[in-house]
Amino acid sequence: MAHFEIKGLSFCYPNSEKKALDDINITIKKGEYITICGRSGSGKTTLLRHLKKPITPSGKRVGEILFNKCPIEEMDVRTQASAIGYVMQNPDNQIVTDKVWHELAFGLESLGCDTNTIRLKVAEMASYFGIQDWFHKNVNELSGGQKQLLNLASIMAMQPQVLICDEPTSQLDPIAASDFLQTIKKINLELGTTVIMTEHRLEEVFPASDRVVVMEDGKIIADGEPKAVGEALKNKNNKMFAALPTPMQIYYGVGSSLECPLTVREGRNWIDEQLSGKEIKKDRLSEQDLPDLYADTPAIFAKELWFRYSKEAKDVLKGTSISVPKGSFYAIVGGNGTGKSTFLKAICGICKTYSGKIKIDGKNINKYKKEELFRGHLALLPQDPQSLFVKKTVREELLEMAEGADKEETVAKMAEKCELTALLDSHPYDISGGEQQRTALAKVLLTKPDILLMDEPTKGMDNFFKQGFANILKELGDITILMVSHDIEFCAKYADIVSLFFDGGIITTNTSRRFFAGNSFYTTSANRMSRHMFANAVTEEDVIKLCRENL
Amino acid sequence: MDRETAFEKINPIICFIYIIGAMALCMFTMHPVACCAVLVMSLLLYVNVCGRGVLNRLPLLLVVYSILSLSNPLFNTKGETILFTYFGGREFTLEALCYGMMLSAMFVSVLMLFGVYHRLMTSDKLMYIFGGLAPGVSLVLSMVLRLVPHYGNQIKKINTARYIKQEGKYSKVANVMSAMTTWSLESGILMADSMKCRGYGCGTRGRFSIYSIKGKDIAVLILAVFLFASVLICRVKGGLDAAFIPRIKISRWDNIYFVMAIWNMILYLAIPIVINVTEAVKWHILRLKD
Amino acid sequence: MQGKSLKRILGYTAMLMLAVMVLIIFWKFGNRNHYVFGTLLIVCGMLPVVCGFEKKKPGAREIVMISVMSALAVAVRLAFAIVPHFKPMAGIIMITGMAFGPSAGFLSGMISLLVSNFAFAQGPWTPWQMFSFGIGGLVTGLLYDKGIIGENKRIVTAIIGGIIVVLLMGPIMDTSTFFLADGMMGDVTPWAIYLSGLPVNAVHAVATAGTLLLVSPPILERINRIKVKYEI
Repeated sequence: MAHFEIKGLSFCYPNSEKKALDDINITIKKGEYITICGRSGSGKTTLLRHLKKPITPSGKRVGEILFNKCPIEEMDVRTQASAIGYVMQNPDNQIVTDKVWHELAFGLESLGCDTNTIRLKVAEMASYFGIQDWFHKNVNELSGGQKQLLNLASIMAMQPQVLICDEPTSQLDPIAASDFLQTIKKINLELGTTVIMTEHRLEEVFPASDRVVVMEDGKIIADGEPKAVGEALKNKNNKMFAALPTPMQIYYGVGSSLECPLTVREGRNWIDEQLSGKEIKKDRLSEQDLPDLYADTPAIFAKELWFRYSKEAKDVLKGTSISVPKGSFYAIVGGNGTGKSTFLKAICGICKTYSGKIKIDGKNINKYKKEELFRGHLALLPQDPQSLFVKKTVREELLEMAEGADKEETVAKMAEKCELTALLDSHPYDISGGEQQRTALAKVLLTKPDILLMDEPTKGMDNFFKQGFANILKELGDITILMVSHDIEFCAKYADIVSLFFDGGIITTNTSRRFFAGNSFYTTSANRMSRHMFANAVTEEDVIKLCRENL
Repeated sequence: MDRETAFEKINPIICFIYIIGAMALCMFTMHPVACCAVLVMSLLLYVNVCGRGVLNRLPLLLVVYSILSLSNPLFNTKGETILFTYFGGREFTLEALCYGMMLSAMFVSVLMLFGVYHRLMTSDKLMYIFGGLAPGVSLVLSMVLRLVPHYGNQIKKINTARYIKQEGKYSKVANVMSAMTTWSLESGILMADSMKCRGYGCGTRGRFSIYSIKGKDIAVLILAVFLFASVLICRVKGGLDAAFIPRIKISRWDNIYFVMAIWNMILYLAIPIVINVTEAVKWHILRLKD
Repeated sequence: MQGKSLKRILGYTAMLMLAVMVLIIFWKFGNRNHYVFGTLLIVCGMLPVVCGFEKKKPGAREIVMISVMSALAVAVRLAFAIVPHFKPMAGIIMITGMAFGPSAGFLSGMISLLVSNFAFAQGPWTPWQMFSFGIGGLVTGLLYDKGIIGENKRIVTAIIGGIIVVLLMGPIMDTSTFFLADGMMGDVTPWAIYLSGLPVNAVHAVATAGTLLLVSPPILERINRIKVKYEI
């Protein structure tokens, strides 16, 4: 039975000729798990917001949306509030009250339920989602994953028939994201709630979905079962193909007549089958040895750093050492809360270590004056690009950092480099997340650093923005980059040297290829899929290349 | 925060009434014995509820007490017994000094009771009490309490991000504040969306709280009301009469109302202490039995 | 629906009766304690705006804007406590009054004071401070509506902000001292109290004027952008 019916929906934002949505027709069945994907700016969020009346954007609209056969405009406020649940991207912005229990009850309070009903439902939700342990906490004490789970629970407390999620995991670390998606799947399977989701991390969502819809420029370009959509994208040679799960990309990259794999498990079986009976002539790619990190003068040299936030607190850094060779792209990976970000801040002196030695370009950090250090030597790109923005336009943001006589020209050049020229007159909050990250990067680069420190730069970016971002970094030339990240795939593709950070220290360091080939859990999906066949394939291209050579 | 004490688990409404009652008791009387009793009991209550840590503040309270007591005779020269004169004839009288001492005892007691109030009436409890009367304002209060630490974090992030920019202290403050304004309002719009998504504004709001009134709460309330009323009656009957000016004249031990008033005042202020101590003792006994 | 409003009316009546009772009790037995009387008066002074706000059933965005501005005032106060002579709270409250209207200014003044006192210390002075900051927001809001101050009159705004602190907000807070001290020190004249409070108020006024001078144009501009962008 149809739940949502969208018929011929087109939409323009005010003051814009461009159609944000162009003749959308979809029917969503009850209990379906449907994923809408597309590049950022393709109209995913605009479409989702049309399904929830109170947050529908204003503008020119034609077409109709039916919910349970009733036009959505005519729905009773109360019914739509409880029947359609909407989870947004940023976990922090959705939380309204200061206590977890109060947040859980917020929706029910709005509906005017009496205390006993609310008490029962809140208890049910807390038990179902495993919130009872932090039921009495202040929301500020929660981690990002917990916050998003709380948002989900407080919406589920209203017992919606449809759950709409707009990139719910983009601000979460991989483990929390995976937990969250599993919870959504559980809700879909156990309660029969219809799920409509947009995501850019398709690796996990794709296999979980019953149906995938791909959007481009406000139009639907593919709609169907995940495998069929994969094939359609391949046939159309569409750019969105690059966002598909690794096993699918490898499958199509190699070219095979077998059935298309969706998950790593299926991918492993597929490789087995594909290469069965063939002799594996080549099972490894050429690899370089790890250079001597301490040879020459390293760009960053830190020896046995110890740090904690206050006298009573636990140590965050426990005698960590690092040496980053000049001109290298060095990545530090590791779980949440292991102290990676703190380590970055310690290196540039924002967090003062109580023991240890730091040398930047061979000179002790304490011998630099602050303005000298942050002008032409070090720069830190913060995790949240918005924390860098203080002005009204991108141009002013960049001008603020520029120095010298011809500021305008410097800014124009930098904007060119970071693909911001078209956005110079926009407000930094009116551009998309990936563009904000590029603006932040441009701003930081204007201090002309030799060494760029980046904290989780790819957070919330889709694959295309990541590629663009990596290209910008590549073109920077001989700048030294030290990055901390959760994004294993990104590090595997672009970093030269990778370290694993755990429990306040660096556990192991190696070249990117050797590092990921050596790990068996903490590694890329391409590697997990192929490690039983090939010794050191870590990216999709590696696997495709080796497969082809052995076929 | 430390572990919750037994009295903190009493229903907030009753707790609130109790503390207001305690403050009222303090202001009822100028009788020296009653003032001393109240002062000592408030101190005990303060330490019992807020923990031993508050003993560090005793010197400060002592200073406040002394200054206030000694300054009263400087302003007020009425009274028969002159202790000494200064400034060529201005009198410093015993009666005024005593009066000042009583007033300061009252003031210091109230200050300590405010300390107790501060510890017991946390924001969520206050919201529970007034949420029914002013749902809108109490929602704002709840949101502000949620946002303040969140904004604090963001200010820290902005400060860190701006390490790369050299600027003066005040221009930095101005920049950070402008940045915060945009950031907080933009995220506020999303927050409003999230409220609307969860049906905010679609009718009269219901109310939920994790507190409920239990038998123990009623017992405490009855006891408190009874003790308070009895002190009030004794006061009407002249049990706590005290006059300082021009001559000290106070009610004595032979007055039954006086004895009752003092006794009941002490009992009233001892309620939380008794509850806390009883619970501790019970635990101790339970552990011994094991 | 009906039951709930009845409950609320009962609640208000009960509070009123309680207030009257407390008043009578203190009038008779409280050693002429005027503090309680004054405080009740102040609470009554806050009631009209609060009741108006409740009655209006504020929308999500309105309630969020008030919360955001109050939280901003408190957060900035806490974060820049170390910067000398920088007391931004009154300034931000005034900006709120200018940008979102007098009653929003009053409410955010009230709330931010209450919340910041959770961080510092609640005391007999809390209601007075709440009222005083509320009035600050209210008056600036009114003056802005009349066109006397505004984003184009940076200096005038700063000066008037300072004057409001010295002549209105400071004295209201000092009145609490007066009521507390009354009886404590015999016959204290209100003037003595106000005079002794003047230096503190003057510093506060200069700080507020400075804050307004420094940040009121950029902040108002940013608020306006949001208002335009989201059609508030």
